Amino acid sequence: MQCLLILTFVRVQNGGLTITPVLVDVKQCLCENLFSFYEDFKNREIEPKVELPEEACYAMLDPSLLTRIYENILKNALVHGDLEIAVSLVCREDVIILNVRNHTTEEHSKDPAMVFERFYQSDKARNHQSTGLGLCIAKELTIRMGGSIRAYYENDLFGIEIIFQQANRSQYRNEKVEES
Amino acid sequence: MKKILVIEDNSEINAMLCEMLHKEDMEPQSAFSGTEGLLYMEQESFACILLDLMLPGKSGEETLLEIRKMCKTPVIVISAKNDIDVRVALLETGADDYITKPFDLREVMARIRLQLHKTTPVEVKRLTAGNLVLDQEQHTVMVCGKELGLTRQEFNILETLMLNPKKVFTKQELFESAWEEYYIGADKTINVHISNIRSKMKQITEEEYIETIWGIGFRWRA
Repeated sequence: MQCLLILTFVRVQNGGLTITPVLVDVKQCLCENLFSFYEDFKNREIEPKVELPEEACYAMLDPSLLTRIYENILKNALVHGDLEIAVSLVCREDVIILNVRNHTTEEHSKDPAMVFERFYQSDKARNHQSTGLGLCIAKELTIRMGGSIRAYYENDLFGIEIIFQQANRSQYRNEKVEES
Repeated sequence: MKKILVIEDNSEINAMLCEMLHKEDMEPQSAFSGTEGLLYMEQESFACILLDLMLPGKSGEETLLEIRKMCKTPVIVISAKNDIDVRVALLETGADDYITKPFDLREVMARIRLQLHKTTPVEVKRLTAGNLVLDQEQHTVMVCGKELGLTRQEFNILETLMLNPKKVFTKQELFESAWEEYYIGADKTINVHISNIRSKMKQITEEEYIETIWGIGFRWRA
């Protein structure tokens, strides 16, 4: 896992990463990623609070890279979070807003601007054998796919917010026609 | 993996038969005398037995009689004796088939398969969990002996969950498995069907079979 992260990091950094955007259901992809961490949540005895829109939310993204982003920020929340982890996805006008928040008392989380720096990690994280690259990669991938990402900290809650453009309706319709 | 007992004293022929069985994804067990073969049979059960007639010590005919006292495992006799009387006698004393040497490996394999096919019971396609029995052929679900009366979609959902008891399904995945169609994002539809299944079950048992995960997915409660 660590090697893979470093490899991805190198690829992202030197531009050797190909991005193939297709129409993705961002919500479905989030659900699948959340469930892939089902055992981890169980082991940590944390039940995530999940808020999702009723309808599918489509965006033009590379599904494997979107999965990588989800994995990295969910893993980060699982490693650093305690008591509470909340995940929300909101579709507003033409954007999709993802929030992953976790309760934490770790000192380093209180400086959210720093968390995207490569190899930035708390001592606690070192013990968890993390590379300190997860969020850095998530940021790079988000930006490469035209999204924006920020970290914030308030009232012992550390959060990552990612915003992607929703696929416009004409794209959505074309895809539907091709399928049928 | 099907276990096949090969009773043949000629080590070359024995090895050749075993190699063929290996290639066919079966598990051969070599025995070089009738006594050795019977010993293996006491320890484990085989799907089929290949039996040579001219064996050192206990003859093939004697071995066959003892095998028949023990079980009904199909026995294919492989022998150089091509006498019609011998063949008839063996078939009458309990051999299931007879192949004469020299033989073609493909024929041996075909005859083994034929025996296995005969003995393999028709698989009853039923899934059970606690007091619940789902019949995949009849498309019925019984709980504590009473039929649930599910719609086709409800049945499909339940079957999908039961077939992958550890997996947490998203609503979309359940939708697609139940309807075999493209998802149109109607989470409510799945919620309604799950709640219908639950209320039908509740009329019979207090036991909960479907678990809701984090309000966004479902899993079979093992």
